Amino acid sequence: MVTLVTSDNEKFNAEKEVVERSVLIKNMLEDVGESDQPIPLPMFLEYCEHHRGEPLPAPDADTSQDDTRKRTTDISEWDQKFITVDQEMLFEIILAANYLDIKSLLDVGCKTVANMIKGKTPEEIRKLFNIVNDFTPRRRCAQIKKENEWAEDR
Amino acid sequence: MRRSLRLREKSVIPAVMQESTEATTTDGPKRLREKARKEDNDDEWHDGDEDEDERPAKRARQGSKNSATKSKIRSKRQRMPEQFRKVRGKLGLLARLVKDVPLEVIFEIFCYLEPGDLLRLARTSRDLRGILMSKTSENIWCTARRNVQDLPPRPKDLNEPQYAHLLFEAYCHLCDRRCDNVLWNFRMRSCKKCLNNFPYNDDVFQQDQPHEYRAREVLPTEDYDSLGNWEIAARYKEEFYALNHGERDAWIDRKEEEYKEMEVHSNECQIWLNTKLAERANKLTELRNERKEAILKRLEEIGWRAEAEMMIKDYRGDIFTNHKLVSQPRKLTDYGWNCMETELVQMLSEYQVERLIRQRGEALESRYRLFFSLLLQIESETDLRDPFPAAGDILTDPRIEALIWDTPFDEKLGDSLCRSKLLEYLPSIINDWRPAKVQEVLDILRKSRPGATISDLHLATSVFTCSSCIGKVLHYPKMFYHRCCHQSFQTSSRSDERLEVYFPFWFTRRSLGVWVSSPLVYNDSASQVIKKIVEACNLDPETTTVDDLHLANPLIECSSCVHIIRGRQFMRWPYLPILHMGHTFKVNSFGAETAQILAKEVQVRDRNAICCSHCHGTHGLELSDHLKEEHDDVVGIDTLPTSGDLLQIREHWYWNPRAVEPPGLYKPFVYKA
Repeated sequence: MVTLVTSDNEKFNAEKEVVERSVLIKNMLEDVGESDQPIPLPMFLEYCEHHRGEPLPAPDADTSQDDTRKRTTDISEWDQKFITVDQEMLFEIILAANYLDIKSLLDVGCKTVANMIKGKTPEEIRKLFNIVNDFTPRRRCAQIKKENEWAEDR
Repeated sequence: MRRSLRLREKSVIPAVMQESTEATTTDGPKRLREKARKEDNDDEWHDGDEDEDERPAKRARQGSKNSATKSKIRSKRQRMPEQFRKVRGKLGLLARLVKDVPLEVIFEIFCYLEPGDLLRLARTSRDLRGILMSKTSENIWCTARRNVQDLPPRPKDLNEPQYAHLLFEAYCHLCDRRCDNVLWNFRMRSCKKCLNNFPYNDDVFQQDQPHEYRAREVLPTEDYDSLGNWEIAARYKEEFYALNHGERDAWIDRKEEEYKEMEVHSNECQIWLNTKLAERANKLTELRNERKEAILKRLEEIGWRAEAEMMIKDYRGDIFTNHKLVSQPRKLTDYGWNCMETELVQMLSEYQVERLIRQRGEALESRYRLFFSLLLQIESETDLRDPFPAAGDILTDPRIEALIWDTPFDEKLGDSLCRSKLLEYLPSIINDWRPAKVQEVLDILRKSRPGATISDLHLATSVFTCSSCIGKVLHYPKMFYHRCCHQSFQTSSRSDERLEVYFPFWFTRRSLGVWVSSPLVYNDSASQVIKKIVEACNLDPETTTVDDLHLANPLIECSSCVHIIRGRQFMRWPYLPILHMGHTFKVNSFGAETAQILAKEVQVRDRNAICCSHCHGTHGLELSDHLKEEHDDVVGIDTLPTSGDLLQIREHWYWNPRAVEPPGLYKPFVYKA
């Protein structure tokens, strides 16, 4: 068992096999070895618990990945439920998944954001993500013309 | 500390970025972005000068704010257009991601999108545009393109955003209206209307091109080679003349080759677009159907589904499916349903009212049609020598009307029930109607012949004519079936609604009206003519009936109508008062020539001319056969003549009072010796 401590000092006990889904923690445990010292960690036990036993990505998984593949944004039903959170929490999940290097969770977070963007107009995206439109109307016209112009030098 | 432990392993990070990130792994994303931006300025798809002045100061990540960054934010707000300064609250997820998350995470997100999404994303804010329009993001665009099934590769002459714009922005590049027509060779979209802005690829257009490549396939054309493009032509010309003479041939060859490739690529793109449009159309149809079904379910809960389904099946067109609230290709939400419920229910209520009125009208119409067809059937089995009421006189009987109007409209009235009711009510209807109407005719006769009795109506000299249609001679009882005597109801005795429903039938079928005597007049002149004929037959005009005169059947010649070339005009008596009023005529006095004259006479072939005395059906010249087949029990077959001479079986038939033509077995004819 490993003891994890969140930033607000809440302690969780979890099995080593579960928390090792995080490459960061796995590396830490390997570096530190067996220890009673608690590991600070936000709450991701639920996710890791659910995916316990699933094969971890190989260390060189990203580099060996076929970059020409089509990327789908399909998310499993459980993950879909897990990730159905408000934007604030989604942001934290993505940040933490990246920090803890939990690739599968980061993928779920990224796919979720991508799904939120897909098929929307700029205005809809702005509304959804509360983005301020800092373009002037003149610039908008210039931008479209630019995208549309014949790029001879390419 | 926020840094990516996966950074080293990321393959999706743009190639240019990789080098930078490796060098700055420990610097964090802020430094990384700054470096990337610096490189962007050297290598952007968009103009740097346009952006740099206006780009807001970069906001520092949370936790590292200091006074310097705060002042930058302030200056950013000051530069921000007025309308955007009022936006309050924390920036949303995406904005925070852009500002506070390592670039590779942002790229990871972007790699799940399609080029069209990236394009629209780049138009949301300068920060996102800065990231996406940088040439260093080329890998993101490439990955995004791979996410689109069967998309042809990017052509060399377009950069990623340009290609995405051409593929995914369904707007006319000339008028900005929605448009799915892509002029691939011109690298633009144009609606049908704006196609007029392009020159025809004709002699005038060709003459304007350098003669060196005029005949070569160098210039891109569109619309089956029929349209040219002045802008492209001018650019080509400029390019061409900028070359020295030695280079020009190679340039032409190269452009020709490029155009060939362009054509192949354009075809591929068009196939891809067609598939995409078809898929989209299917998807929209599917969404519309799902929405419609969801709405129907909601309507079912409040008891309106059945009405909606009737509306859908309406033979005049499916107004429900095409309603603006229903036909949207959007999933139905609770909010959407709440917004539309009142309007839909109102529409369905109005439709229900209209439908019930319509169905009531249709039910009434079908009932009237049924009764009318049954009446015709009964009438054809009835001896019409006694006046038979018009359909209107029967169908307006209160008992029949009650059956038609008071039976629930969703209840079907059966043929047998209606026929039995008709047969039940008819005797009393006829008993009331007939004496009154015969009296009306008698009253007309009495105006000229005071003291005339009902039996006088049968006299050959009791001749009536119709004041509406000149020339018709009507003996008793023919006037009871004359069409001009069938008129609409007297409105004073009808309720407006019933009249309104019944009137259209009367209008299309005159015999559906009630019988009125008003068009009838006693014709004294015709009576005098008939009187002379009767006298010429040595009969008494005071006692000779129409049947007596038919039996006498005198042959008449109109002396006024002798034609030098065609010959003399002969006829039987019913035709004389119709065609030859005021003429002089001879009756039965043709001596030895009579047989020759009669040889020219032609028998009438009108099937409706006579009725069988036994069943009252109309059979014409085939009556003899009919008697043998149908009435052999009452008619001795041996007594029937084999020649078909109707005069020999006179007791088995009578003149059809309904026949339009005057009664008679022979038509008027011409005789020339």
